[in-house]
Parts: sequence; C-alpha cells; structure tokens
Amino acid sequence: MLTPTEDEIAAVVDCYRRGWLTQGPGVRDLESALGGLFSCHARVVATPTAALHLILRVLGVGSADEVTVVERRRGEDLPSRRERHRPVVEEVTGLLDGRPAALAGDLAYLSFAGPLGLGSGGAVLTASAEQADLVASLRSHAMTSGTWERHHGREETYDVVDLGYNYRFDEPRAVLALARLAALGARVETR
Amino acid sequence: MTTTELAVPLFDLRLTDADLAAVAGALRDGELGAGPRVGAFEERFAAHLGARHAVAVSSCTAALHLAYLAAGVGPGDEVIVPSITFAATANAALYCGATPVFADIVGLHVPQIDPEHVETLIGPRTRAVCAVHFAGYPAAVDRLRVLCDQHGIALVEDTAHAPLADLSGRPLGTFGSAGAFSFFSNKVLSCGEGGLLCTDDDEIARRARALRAAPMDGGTFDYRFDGPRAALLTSRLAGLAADVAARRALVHRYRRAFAGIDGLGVPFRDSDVEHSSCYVMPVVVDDPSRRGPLRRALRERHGVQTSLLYPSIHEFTAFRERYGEQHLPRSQAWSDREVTVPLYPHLGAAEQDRVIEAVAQELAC
Repeated sequence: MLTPTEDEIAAVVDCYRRGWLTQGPGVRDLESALGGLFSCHARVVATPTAALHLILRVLGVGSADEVTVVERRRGEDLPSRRERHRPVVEEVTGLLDGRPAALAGDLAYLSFAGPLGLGSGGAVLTASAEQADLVASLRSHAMTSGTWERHHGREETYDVVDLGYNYRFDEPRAVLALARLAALGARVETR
Repeated sequence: MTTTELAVPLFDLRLTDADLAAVAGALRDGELGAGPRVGAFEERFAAHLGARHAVAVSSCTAALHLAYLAAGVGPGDEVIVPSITFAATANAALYCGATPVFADIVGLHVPQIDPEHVETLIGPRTRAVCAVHFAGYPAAVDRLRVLCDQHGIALVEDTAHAPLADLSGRPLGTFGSAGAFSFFSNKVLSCGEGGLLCTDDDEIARRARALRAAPMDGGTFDYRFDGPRAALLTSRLAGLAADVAARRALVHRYRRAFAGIDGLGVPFRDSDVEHSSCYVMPVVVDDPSRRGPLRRALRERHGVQTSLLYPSIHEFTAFRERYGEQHLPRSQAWSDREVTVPLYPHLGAAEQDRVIEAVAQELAC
C-alpha cells in the first residue's frame, strides 16, 4: 500500500467534509477514467473478490458448473474470440502503466491494491453495456434506484429485481483512486 | 426539485474537525487496509456495547451473512425474518443457500417482527430467527430469545438502525448469538460503507474473523474494513450519545406536533423514545391513497424530502418470482401507508417546523 501524499489526503478529507460518502459522482468519474483507459465499460466494486463474484454471476456460472483457472505466461496470447468455446475472464495485472490497453478476455477484473496502492477496491471491465448494467445492479442489492437517485428526488421508491449484494465502493476511496490514476498517467507522460 | 432546492433533506451528514483530523491521521500513516485503528475501533465499540467481541466488516450485509453462517445456517435451512426491513436481512440467508421465511409485524403501532407469528412459522428446517430493531426501537428480543432457546435455534439481531438502544436497559445486539450493525452514510453512526458483527461467543467471533479475510490470506469473502473508516468511527463514537440525545429530543417534538393531525398515525409510544437510537421518524397515513400525493407535495411544494421504510420485501419482484404471493396483511398495511420524514441530529427547529406544517397543510386539504 502506498502512503497518500498531502494533496491526496486533502482531496479525501475534503470529500468527507462535503458529507456525501455513498457511491456517487466520484465513483462515476473513476469508472469513466478506467473505461477510457481500456476502451470499455468499467464498474467499480468494493474488492477484486467481489468483481470476480459478479463476473461469474453475469456469466450465469452456478453450483454445478466448472471454471478452468489457468496462469497465462508472459507474452502468451489468448485464443482469438472466434476460437473460444467458452467466455474467457481475464485478470488485468499490468494495468496501469497509464496507457490505454485493449482487453483480450470477454470480461476482465482488476484490483486497486497493486497499481494504485489502495487497501481495497476493484473493477469489472467489459465491452458489453448490458453486462456493465447488470454488474451495477448486482453490486447494490439489485435495487432499481440508488441512494443518490432517491436523494436527488429522481425516484420515490424501488424494487429489488434479483439477488444482489453490497459490493459498493465509496466516494472517499474513489477520490483517492482517481487521484492515483491521474498521477500514474502523468508519470507515464513525463517518461 | 434538486438537492440545492431541497429545504429539508431526509438526512444530512456533518463531520467535525476532530473527525476529519482522525481520517487524515490514518491516511498519513498509510493505514489504507486493516491495521491498528480497526482493532482499536473494535475494542471501543465492544466496550461501548458491553459485548465480548466486535468484528468490523465492509457492510451490515456482510455482518448479517457472517452472523447467519456462524449460527450454522446452510443450504436447505430456513431463516425467519420480517418483511419490513431492508432486502439484505433476507438476502443474507440466500447467500448461505437458505430460504428466508417472512413473519408479519405486530401492527402499525409496533412495526416490529411479531413473536406470535414467528412461533407458528418455526419448523424442522428453521435454523435461525432474525429480529430487526426497526427505526432504532427494540423488537421483542427478550421473548424471541426464550422462544429460540426452546426450539434450539439461533436468534440473530439486525441492529443496523440501533446503536445505543436498549430493551429494559440491556443494549440491543447483545440478546442474540450475534448482532449486525450498519455504518452506511445515513445511519446513526456512519462512515460511508461499513458494518460490524458483535457477539459474546468466542467461536462465532473466530469464525467471523476467518471468513472476513481475503482469499489470498486464507479467508473467504474479503469483507475487510480499513484504517480511515475505523478512525472516523472511533472519533464519531465519542459524539454518539449526544447525537442520539438530539435525535430523541427531535422525535419527542415531532410526536407532540403530529399527535394533533387528523389522518396521521405515529408508531411507537412516547416512553419508547428513550430506549431508541431514533434512526428515522416514521409516520403512517390512515388512507393509503394519500401517501403518494403527500410525498410528492412535500417534495415539490415544500422542499421536504421523504422516504419509505420499507417496501415489504416479500413483494419485491425477486422474491415474488422465487416464492409467489405471500399474505402478510400487517406488513402490507405498513408498506402502503408509511412515510419517513427528515431526521438528523442538527435538524433545526425552523426546518422541523417546516416539515410539520407541510404535513399538516397537505393532509388538511
């Protein structure tokens, strides 16, 4: 884990001072930044474990199914999309040399622990808007509206449409992650 | 109406300079994961509650999940829960492979799980009962404790709403095998996302800690907490008694004002308020057809935000699809009539009067 700089501390403390701590604009900004890096949809969740769980839910993996886990050697390519018989889920470990990267898998997940030096947090990456929407729903109890929407008068009540979880990230951590992501990009630019 | 135009939001979180300094301290020390501040908060919270163990986790949902697992809930089992609660109370049973069985509430004046209905629902597959201390007021956990002991099943307490609340002087969360607290933003003691499991049982605490860890550390769910949030909660715990006292005073003021409004009911009794953490202020309209128009008018004409705690879980699409139509008439009556009005410790008299006058005016039409 990386100790925050004074600027990062100021940004996080300012978020706490503003008082909106539940998943909101900060999480959305972080998702836009990650989505931009990987040219896909990104949904931020509490942990990489949660990201992987939601990916398996999105793919409909159930108790009788098998999942093959393989370690990919450096430089080894995945089978092309046409050659695959099953969806391929990829763990993105080299994120964030700050440069845009294309996903080889159908769905991917990453941890904020490594490249961003955070204690928690992760993301699901997918090219499918539909899969991204499902991840967003399942990470917050499969409710049809969130606290942010209800607080802003957009929704009066909600339905629960699936078996969901509390896998939300919160605003202060999103602010720190976003600052780190920007710093990473700036360092690469300098180099 | 947008937030900036909202004169009185449902809740508002205001942190002190000391709270912010505590967060900054944790960040400056680089305690971004579970470190000494998490342990210190757990010790402080356990002491405040009078429980042997406190295990801080990522959410109350996680705490409920671990509480059910530690109570031995598994595939094929049933967990009896109220329908007037947040979906997580029931979902956590589903995470264990168990079936939630819904008990009705006592009634509109006591919107708490009904021990008499619970008794009729206990069967060979029942493994646990979960009592939700709705709005911060005690459910009948004394009676449920006896009932569960008679049947050899666990009592779990969903104390999401109820830090610093008691039943006959005994803190809520200490009646069952475990209690599950929430530190979600709008809660009485909040930090954004967070939860905690309390228990007097060494084995339950050990299991909860083991399951909380990340898979790479030999754990299962990665429900870990972290230093900045623990530091914030430790700081805020010092002000909790004052916050709850302010909430109670506001609730007494609401109760006096609402008692005179025709067509409006106020649940609980005046004497209950001193035992409640007063998380929210629920009222019920006599005529359910007036509920929607009342909420809209409060928001659009008066800038007063309201909520609904809760839509009955058994009526959600996800539960209807699984279990079909269920008949819980008192829960239904509650869900059709309830309106939650603004409540937070620094709610000013002028704002509170605005809420009271708006409700009175709209129901008089």
